[in-house]
Amino acid sequence: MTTYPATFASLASICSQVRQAASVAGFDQQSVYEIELAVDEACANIIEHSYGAEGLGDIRCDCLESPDSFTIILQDTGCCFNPEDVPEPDLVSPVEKRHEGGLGLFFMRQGMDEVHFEPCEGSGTRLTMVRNKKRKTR
Amino acid sequence: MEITQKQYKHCDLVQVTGRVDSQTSPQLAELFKTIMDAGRFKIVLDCSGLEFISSAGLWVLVNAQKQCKRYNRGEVVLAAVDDRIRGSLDLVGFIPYFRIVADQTEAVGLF
Repeated sequence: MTTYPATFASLASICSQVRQAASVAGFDQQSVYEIELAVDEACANIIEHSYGAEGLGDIRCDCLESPDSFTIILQDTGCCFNPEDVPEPDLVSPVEKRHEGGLGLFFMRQGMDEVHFEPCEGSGTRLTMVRNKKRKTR
Repeated sequence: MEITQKQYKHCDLVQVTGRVDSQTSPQLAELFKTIMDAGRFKIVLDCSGLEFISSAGLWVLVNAQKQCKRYNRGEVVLAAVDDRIRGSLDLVGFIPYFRIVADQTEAVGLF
């Protein structure tokens, strides 16, 4: 478990930790990139939505490997995050008509096989994201 | 992230290397703004050194493209886009919004 300040400047370090762990777990470059993108988006969401701004807490990051899967746990002490409050992104309108934002959770769900949020004791959210080593083609 | 910019007669070449994420994307947005504020709307973004781009960075590209394409005055052309980054653009349906070419020479030649 490594703890980082919840700032955008931490994104590169958090991603580096996850990239390294995912490579050791045997994922190919494409998969490592998808996992990294999921984690970057998740952490940016924690900073923007759970804490509401930069520098208001920490993000704890843990990577766990099993024979079949790779799990990332991200924990914050901000507000509880409810993914059901996030509208589905608009992927069909002409690009120039779309509203900025809303792609973070989408990239998380695309890059990982399981994404779940649970409230932590006290305050904050624990986000668990699992990527199976053998993934069905999407 | 590092950005370099070169002004050609018919377009501006921007080379971006490293990570474009929530930390660094405002810097890229600022450079696009500087170029557009000077009345130049034909921009080549050389992505050959781009290692990673998050949704924050993708929106910077889309917003620059919106500005450039307005009044048919120009566009942002992407050059040397890595397959992984192309994959992200494709997932969210941004591919048709950009011309994507093999390298910066081809991109500069379009203008």
